[in-house]
Amino acid sequence: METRICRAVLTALLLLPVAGQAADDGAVNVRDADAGSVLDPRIERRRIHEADIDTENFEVGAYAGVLAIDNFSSEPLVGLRLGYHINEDVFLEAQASMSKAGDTSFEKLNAGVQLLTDDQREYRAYEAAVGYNLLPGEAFFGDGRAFNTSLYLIGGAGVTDFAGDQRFTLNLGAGYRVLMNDWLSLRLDMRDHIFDLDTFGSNDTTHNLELSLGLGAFF
Amino acid sequence: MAWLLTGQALADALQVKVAEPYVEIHTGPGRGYPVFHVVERHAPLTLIRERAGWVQVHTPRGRTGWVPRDALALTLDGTGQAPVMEDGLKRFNGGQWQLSVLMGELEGARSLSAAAGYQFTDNLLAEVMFSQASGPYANNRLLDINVQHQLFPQWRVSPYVMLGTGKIHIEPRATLVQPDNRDERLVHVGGGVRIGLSRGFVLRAEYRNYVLFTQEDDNRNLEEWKLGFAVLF
Repeated sequence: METRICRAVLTALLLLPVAGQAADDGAVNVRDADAGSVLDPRIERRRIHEADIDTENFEVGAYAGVLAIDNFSSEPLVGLRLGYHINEDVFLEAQASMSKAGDTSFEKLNAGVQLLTDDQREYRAYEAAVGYNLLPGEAFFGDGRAFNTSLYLIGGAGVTDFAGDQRFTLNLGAGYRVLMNDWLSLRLDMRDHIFDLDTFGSNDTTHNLELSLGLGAFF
Repeated sequence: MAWLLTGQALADALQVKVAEPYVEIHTGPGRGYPVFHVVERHAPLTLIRERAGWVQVHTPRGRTGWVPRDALALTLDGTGQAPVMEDGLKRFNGGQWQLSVLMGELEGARSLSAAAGYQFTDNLLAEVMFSQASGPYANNRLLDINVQHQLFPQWRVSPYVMLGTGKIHIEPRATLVQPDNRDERLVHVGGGVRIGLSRGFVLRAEYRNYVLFTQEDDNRNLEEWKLGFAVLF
């Protein structure tokens, strides 16, 4: 198709050398191509502001995965997140997640002993983080499809509501984002949530590992 | 045929003409993505979306790819002028919303705050902030409204002063003897500095001095330092 159009345009140019020269003498910056040309310079006569372009810097998403709460069991976790992409390198993210801790080994070995009430086992985390797209790239599926991807590092702070108290929490991790199309993202996240827990007598720093898979949409 | 159909579908789309000898089209929105296509001078580019400083464009030959937003300055719109670009510093001023997240220290307790603000004029911003501070002796929750005044809003590093009022909820740690939860009213003064890092993105550091109107005879003074980010849109 393109070659046919090219041929048509070239033929037209060959047939009209005089007209072409005349046009060159006139307006230097305007090429007078016909409507069927590949290069059609006749664009709408209006002022364009960058603000008119649809910006899609926000990414909203939901995720589900597994949370291994230190000293407790590994339990399902679900969460929501909202991200803002500042530039190609850096993005900010806020997230809220929930899970519920199971029994500690001690509780399992000593039937009837309950260290925490049912309410205290509820895990709620509210966190903010800064992400850095360390290794952006493309992934290929077969010979006809390419997806934009990024391996990112992410870290931040937040509050975790667990074991009857609110705990200041640091989080640190890495993830992989694959853009399925122009707006849909698939994400795999590994995150360590670090907070102090005093439930077992001393104030211990605990590492709580999360592995999750999520979907996001840019808007 | 594809380019004709797309051209029709995008009839009322934003279009510019390339004004440089050529513009390079990348496969993705980032400097590392390979250049797979080139659009020559005078050819139209249809602007589809902008993300994180890159613009997705549709070319007359039916390709879709990304160009850095700076490349728009090298194009002409229908009136023959370069598109009006949003100025980085200008975006820090006037008529816009601001979301902030800050971390800090409130009298030995680590605090975390989230805030939403609205900029009324170049100088004046009103904000609602929620903070939570978990310390060794108490959990504190603060909700305040404040007004910030930027002294030199045109500067990239812009100092501001603030004045606010709010409430604090103090929840002493359960391991201590029989304390009661308390709600106190407070006012605060403070100052800080905003540093424009990139378009719509500001680093923010501030100091606050709170006065708590306690039910006891003496008012209490609290000091807080904060550091965080703000996103403007």
